Amino acid sequence: MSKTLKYQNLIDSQDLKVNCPDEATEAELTAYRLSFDPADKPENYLPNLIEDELLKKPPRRLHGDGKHCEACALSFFVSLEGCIAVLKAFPRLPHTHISSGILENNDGVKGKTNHSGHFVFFEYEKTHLNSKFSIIFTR
Amino acid sequence: MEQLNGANLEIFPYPELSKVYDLIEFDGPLLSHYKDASDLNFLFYWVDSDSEVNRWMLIEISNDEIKDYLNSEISLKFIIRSKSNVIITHIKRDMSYSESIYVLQSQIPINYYPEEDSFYTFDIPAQYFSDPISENQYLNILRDGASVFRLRPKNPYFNHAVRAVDAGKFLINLTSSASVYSAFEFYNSFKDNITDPDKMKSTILNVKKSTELLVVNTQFRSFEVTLAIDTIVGMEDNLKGYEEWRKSIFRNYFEDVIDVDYSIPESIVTFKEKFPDEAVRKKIIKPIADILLDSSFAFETKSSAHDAPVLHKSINKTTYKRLIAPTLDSATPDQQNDRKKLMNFVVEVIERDGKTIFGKKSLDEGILFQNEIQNVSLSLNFFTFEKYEISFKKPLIYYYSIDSDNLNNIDCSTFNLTISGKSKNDVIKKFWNSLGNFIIDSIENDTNKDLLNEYIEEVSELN
Repeated sequence: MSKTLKYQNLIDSQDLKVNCPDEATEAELTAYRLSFDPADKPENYLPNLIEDELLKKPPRRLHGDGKHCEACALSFFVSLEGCIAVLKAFPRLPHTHISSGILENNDGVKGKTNHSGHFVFFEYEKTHLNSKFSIIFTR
Repeated sequence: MEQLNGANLEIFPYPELSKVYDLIEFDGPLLSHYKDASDLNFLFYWVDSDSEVNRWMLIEISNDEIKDYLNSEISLKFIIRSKSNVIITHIKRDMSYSESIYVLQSQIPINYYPEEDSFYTFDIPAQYFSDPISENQYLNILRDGASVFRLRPKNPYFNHAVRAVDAGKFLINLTSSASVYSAFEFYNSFKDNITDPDKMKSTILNVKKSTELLVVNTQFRSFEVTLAIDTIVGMEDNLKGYEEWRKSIFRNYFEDVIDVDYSIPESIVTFKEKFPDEAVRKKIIKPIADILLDSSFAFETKSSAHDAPVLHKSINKTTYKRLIAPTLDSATPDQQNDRKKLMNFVVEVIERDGKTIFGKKSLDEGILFQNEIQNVSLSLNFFTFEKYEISFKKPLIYYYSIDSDNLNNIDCSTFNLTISGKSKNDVIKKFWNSLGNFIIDSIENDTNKDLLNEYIEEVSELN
């Protein structure tokens, strides 16, 4: 199984001044992600930078935010409640669904889970999350 | 993006903001906490985007609002709704602000409001647990107003080490005395500002919490502890004068309660003048008298009032009794030593010819069950006070008890009265007197209307 990151070229192109990914490890867990219907829609499992490019959106960054290693990864939550709380707070987010699936050791490496249960995930080259995840919640 | 109405600003008005924390993120920040140079708090709340910019709502927010939001006490929607205006700003790909618009509450597009239950349901980030000032700065500020309390063994058995249990009792005595003192002084200082008894009661609970004694330094050669009251964090109240009051309360406590020679009779007179209510007085001075009565230890203090440590004179049992129960002075020594209790008896009685027969024999022979009780719930339907007869719409419930010093106590939380007396008749007399004074004063001054409407049926003059 190749352990090359699927978006290593994207990471390299960012000219990041920090290790990327940093302190990320393989893990097995059920993960939840804000998504679009259907679950296997291509933009559902793209790193932030590529998704923004595809949807023609400027990157969502604020004053003081540098280039983020995390923008080359996918955002997930460790709980369904975390995703629902985000949908409730941000009615203009375009996501209409929440999908869920099991991330396994061979799928990639996971960054640290933060206070909100959010973490970023760097897929390995041959991972296809759209075949592992399914819609479990509709807004 | 939604059409926006509002006043265009030439420049983004807060160029010096620095990020505190990304509170919510998904594919980048969604809700971020920022501060400006003068420590004003702002939330950047993402609301919209198009192909060129992300649109953010900038919400100025108080420390209390941040705290309440993180503790899920208020929702994000509640915060936005509470603002008369916000700034909506556009941030371009290169992170520059392209447009800033001053928007009134009524001009915020309906689609930009979060849902009603948009509570912060996540864990609170660790950095919000710590204060903005460092631990050392905080302790140093508190030490400025602190006093040193030392418990020194007179006949050291374990060299100069103090048993943990003695150190614990020492701290508990100091804390309980200071806590009642704070509540008493707060009531006296702010009773004209807070006239609703329920509000006063809940405020006093907060005051007790925010004026709790804190350990800001220790020495273990004997047991020396430096105590202070917080003057930085804790209760943030809009009550005018409260912060100033809090800054002086510990110094006043030290002067009124600690820096007193308990061994001389004059101290009793001073305490009586300072704390006229016997139950309150006892709660404040008994813990300190307990420390001074313990002949195993010397009690020393050091404060800004004195250059050198002060050794407080010990007291004997007679002085102790005079200090904590002066109304029992007239009682005989035997009466003082006999502990009084309240007992509940269930007695079997005989009914003969429709009459219940109950006498000494019933008590001697007919007791079925008995148990000691802490207090008795009693009720009052009417009473007389001076030239008035005062009647209640519903029975006024109060509690009668006898404490470990044989003082008879009445506690009536409805009217916030705690009364002590040397006998049942004495305490009831005092209770009626305090209650009558409270009711007549309230009627004359047109205060406590809700309470009077709820309880008072009639106040009539006696013929």
